Amino acid sequence: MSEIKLLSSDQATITVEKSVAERSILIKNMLEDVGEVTEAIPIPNVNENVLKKVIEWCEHHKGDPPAQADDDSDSRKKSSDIDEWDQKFMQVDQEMLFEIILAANYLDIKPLLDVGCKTVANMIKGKSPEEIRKTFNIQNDFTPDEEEQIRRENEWAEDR
Amino acid sequence: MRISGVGILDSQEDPSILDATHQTSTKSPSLSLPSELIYLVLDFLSPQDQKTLAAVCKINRQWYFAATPYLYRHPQITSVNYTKFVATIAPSSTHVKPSRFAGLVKRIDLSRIVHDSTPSSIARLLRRTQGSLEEFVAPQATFGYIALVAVGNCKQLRLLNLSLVSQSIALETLFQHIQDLPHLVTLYFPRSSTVDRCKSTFNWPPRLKRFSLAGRIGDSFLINTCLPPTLHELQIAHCPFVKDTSIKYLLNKASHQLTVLSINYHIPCLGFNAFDKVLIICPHLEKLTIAVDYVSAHLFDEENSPSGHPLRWLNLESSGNPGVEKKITPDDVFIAVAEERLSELRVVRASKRLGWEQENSKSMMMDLNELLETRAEEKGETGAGVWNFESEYSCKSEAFRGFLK
Repeated sequence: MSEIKLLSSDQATITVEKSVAERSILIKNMLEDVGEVTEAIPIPNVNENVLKKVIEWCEHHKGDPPAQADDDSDSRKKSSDIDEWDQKFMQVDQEMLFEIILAANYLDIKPLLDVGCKTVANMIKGKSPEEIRKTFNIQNDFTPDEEEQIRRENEWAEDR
Repeated sequence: MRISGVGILDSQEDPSILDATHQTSTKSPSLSLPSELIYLVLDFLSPQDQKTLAAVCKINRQWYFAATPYLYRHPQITSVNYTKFVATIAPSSTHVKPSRFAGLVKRIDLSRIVHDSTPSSIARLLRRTQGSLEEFVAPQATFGYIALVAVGNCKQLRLLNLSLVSQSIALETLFQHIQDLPHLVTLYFPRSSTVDRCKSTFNWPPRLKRFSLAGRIGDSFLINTCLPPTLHELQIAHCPFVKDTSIKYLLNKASHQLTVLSINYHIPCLGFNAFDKVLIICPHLEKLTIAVDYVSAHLFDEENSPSGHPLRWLNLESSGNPGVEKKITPDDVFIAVAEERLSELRVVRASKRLGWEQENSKSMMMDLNELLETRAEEKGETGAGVWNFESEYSCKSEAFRGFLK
């Protein structure tokens, strides 16, 4: 079983099974283009911590069937169903959660990206704007006037 | 090891180590997602979860711009929020001040509005959203001519449901305004209200696939109309005046194109076995919904259920009127399937009003269920069987209509 090396943004080299790394479409395409590689493949947007976490996910899911090409119909839309292992895997702090999502997007690992986005969606559900800002450490950049305007225009959505 | 929230410490940390990891991850108070990933997150929220979507709009600018289209796409409109919704979408009637939201609305469903809408407010809503609106369900209350004119300008419309409208609409006027809707696929006629002045032919919207016929339609309409060639799904219900001969005439004309047919109550002029030959008339039907009021067990006889008929899905409705409950038993269907006549049949749904769950029918129903499952298994299919359902369609709307004075 062949192995390849990945070089994180903070210059750490991580050795990983080729089939695991190929869960990332970016890496898979890269390997197909260049053929055999001996040096570490640089992953300039992902640091060691996050890369290790992503690899952990890929290892657990290496046996999964490849994602359907255009599978964004019904099956994707069900927000709450995240399998148990993934739920546990996603129990990280908010910053790591966003890092995983960004890394999955960059590395083109669609199922991981979906799990990450589902997790965020589930965390948003039913919360007030203030609670969401707190959960995800988001700055409120509205002026009081804008806030009032939005409150007025979307008032219909809040009582029904 | 960061002590988040205590901003003073952050600034004293050595920036070089931090910069090597992730530009935005440590220094700024928040690591944010780019908007295209926020859309992905919003895809996983239920479009019905209006409250959460409204909350998301208030987070900050980035989330506001991302979430607003989601909030306005399929608004849930009720009596409680109708006026406020109109105020946002169509703030004034005279001054045409464009609303930023109007172009985002894809569906307006006013089925839960009773007294709160006026024809002019509906027309205003439609005018403002006409560039984007794909589905419109008209309210039960006053609809009016100006609203109908406004419907005719919604060129993106795919679904037009007028079934709840209780006000009189002349067929001629209706067709005049909808005939040019280029994308209209599904059309529900007003249930209680169409006035048919016997004008011979009407022009149908060019892409119509599904049509639900209802209301005070006369036989002449059925006989004279030429259904569009694109139509393959037809529903007929709540027609107090039509006779079985004119329905059959219409079905015969369209028999080559119909794959889905529904003949449901109340059509009081039909006899107790008016449609026993429906499968012969329509040899391409894959889905049939029929009220047992208008068929007898002979529907499943050899001469009426030909072998090789493509019917897959049979839905037996019932008005629940006295005398109709025992007309068709599970055994009647069983024999037709067992004799390989309805060999493609997989799903049978029966209204609870048929009494199939009662003691003496129950075992027959289990047998039919097993037979359908076996047939499916032989072909490597799933999802076959028998289901019983409440006739909600009528109960709810009937009860609802009862409220109106």
